[in-house]
Amino acid sequence: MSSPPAGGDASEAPSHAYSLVSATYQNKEYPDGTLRVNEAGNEVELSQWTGKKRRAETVVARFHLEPNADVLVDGALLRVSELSVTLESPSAAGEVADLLRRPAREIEVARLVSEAEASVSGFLEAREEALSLLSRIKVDPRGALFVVDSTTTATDTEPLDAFYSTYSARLAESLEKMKSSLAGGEKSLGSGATDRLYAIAYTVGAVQNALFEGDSDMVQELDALHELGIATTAQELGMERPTARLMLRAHPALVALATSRPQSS
Amino acid sequence: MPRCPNGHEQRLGLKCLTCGAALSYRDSMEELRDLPKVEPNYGKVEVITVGYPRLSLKADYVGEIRAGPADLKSSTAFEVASIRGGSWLDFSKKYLQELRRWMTLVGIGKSTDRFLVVDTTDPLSVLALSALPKLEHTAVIAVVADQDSTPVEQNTSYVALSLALGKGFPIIALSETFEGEMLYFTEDRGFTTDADALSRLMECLLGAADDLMDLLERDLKLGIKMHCLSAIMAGSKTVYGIATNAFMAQSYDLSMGAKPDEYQTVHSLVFSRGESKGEFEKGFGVFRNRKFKGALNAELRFHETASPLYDLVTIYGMRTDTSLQDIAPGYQAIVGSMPELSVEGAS
Repeated sequence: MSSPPAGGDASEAPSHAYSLVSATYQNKEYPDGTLRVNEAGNEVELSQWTGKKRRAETVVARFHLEPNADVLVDGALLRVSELSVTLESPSAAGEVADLLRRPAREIEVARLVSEAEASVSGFLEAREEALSLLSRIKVDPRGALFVVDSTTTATDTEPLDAFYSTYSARLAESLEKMKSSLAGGEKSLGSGATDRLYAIAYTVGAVQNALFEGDSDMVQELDALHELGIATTAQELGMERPTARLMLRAHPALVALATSRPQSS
Repeated sequence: MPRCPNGHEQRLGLKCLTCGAALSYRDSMEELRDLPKVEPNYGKVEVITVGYPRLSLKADYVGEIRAGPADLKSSTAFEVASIRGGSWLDFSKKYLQELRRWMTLVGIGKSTDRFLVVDTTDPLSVLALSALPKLEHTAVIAVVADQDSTPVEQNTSYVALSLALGKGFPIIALSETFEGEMLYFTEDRGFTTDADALSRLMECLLGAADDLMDLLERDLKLGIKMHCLSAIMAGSKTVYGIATNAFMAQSYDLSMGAKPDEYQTVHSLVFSRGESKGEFEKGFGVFRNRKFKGALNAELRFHETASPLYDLVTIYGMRTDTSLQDIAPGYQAIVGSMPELSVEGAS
């Protein structure tokens, strides 16, 4: 059985220790010993009991596991890299396998989260651009609409109408794209992380609205961002292009949320 | 707004503050699809200059239409490349659609009042007046060809003025000779001439834009579209004595020559210290009775300033055909050899 995470030899980080029935490493057999796997699941240490009374523990192997390493489980037998171990039970072997698969899973989750975030960012950044132009239009309509004209295709319509028409279409398209992307990724990411992405998208949208309306303190928005794991200040939100910064800061909490969900297989 | 499974709505947050259940944002995303409506502020006065790249004007918007080395458009300038040997017709053919689009883009017509300051001897004047939509509260301050101008200039000026009149814009006309001889005093830079003098005159007119447009539109209702003006800049009691003298003196230097019986209305704009208001009102009364007794309308508008020196601008409503008559021979001479350069060709 595993011991709770504790400081071990494999690394400075906490590790999980498992008693072994037997082990084979680089074709050499070890009758018993301990397997330690760090919390991140990428450092493995094999040690055996030595000495007359077999009370001294000697490390016989310590290696870094690549995230894409194959981890195979067959009952209590676990194979990874050049190591083959028989643990005390199939559940212990499953637990170790889960730990060792964590880096690969995290990479995959991070990739999926990044994909989902990209679709959310796509929508929010399109909205940020539109609101930023609208802010300019409010104070300098001539200068702003002259610039906007290069991005619109209408020639005979009122510039402001053309702006609304073009940017409303763009927003609708990117919102649909975002919803479709989140729906597609929900099975892999889980509904918790997907719900969180929707909450982030809406909250960042609320920040954009507050900035557009000139609300300088944004107390509610800051509280909501904090609750979502996004630390920032009103001053920072007032700086150029806040959306990209907020999405960047949302990433770690999202990955953690998506990684921590129970795995289906 | 996001809501919890129990139907409680909440602005932001992860948990419902009423029942503690998780909030769902999925159905709320549609709220972010619509962009807020804005009411852009285009300001009160917009000015478009044609053929005057060096004018220094103060208004909510100043846009320039001018010739330059290459086509170049910005929110404040529509610059066209010179056309070698080109007449107003060549510029109009090449740039009319583009200029109309530019005017729409930069919101010409969105401010309350508009002034087109135009050198009507410039081929771009016809282009500008063709492109400018028929808009209310729009006046043209035009430098026009006179008897000293070339027939080509007279033709261009005649066509431009005809276009302006055809669109119902009131015009304040300054002859080319008057414009060339303008000399005004400014407190900060001393005497000014050319574009600086025109800028100084425009400073006065735009400073009273509301009153000026009101007076021009009153005249328009009387059927008076064409005006000339006279002005004293930085006048003082030391130089002119009583206000009546100032009114009388300035009326001898008119921006367009016309016989006294051709003046239909007379209006003065005075910019002076508040305590001199009564004197100017009295002086204007005497001036009107002496020189314009038969005027259909005569008004004085006083604007209080802090300066010890005063500015006085008087505009005179004229019969429309007066200014066109002087340049008609040159216009006809050109149309005789190039019929396409007629007013009809620009319409």
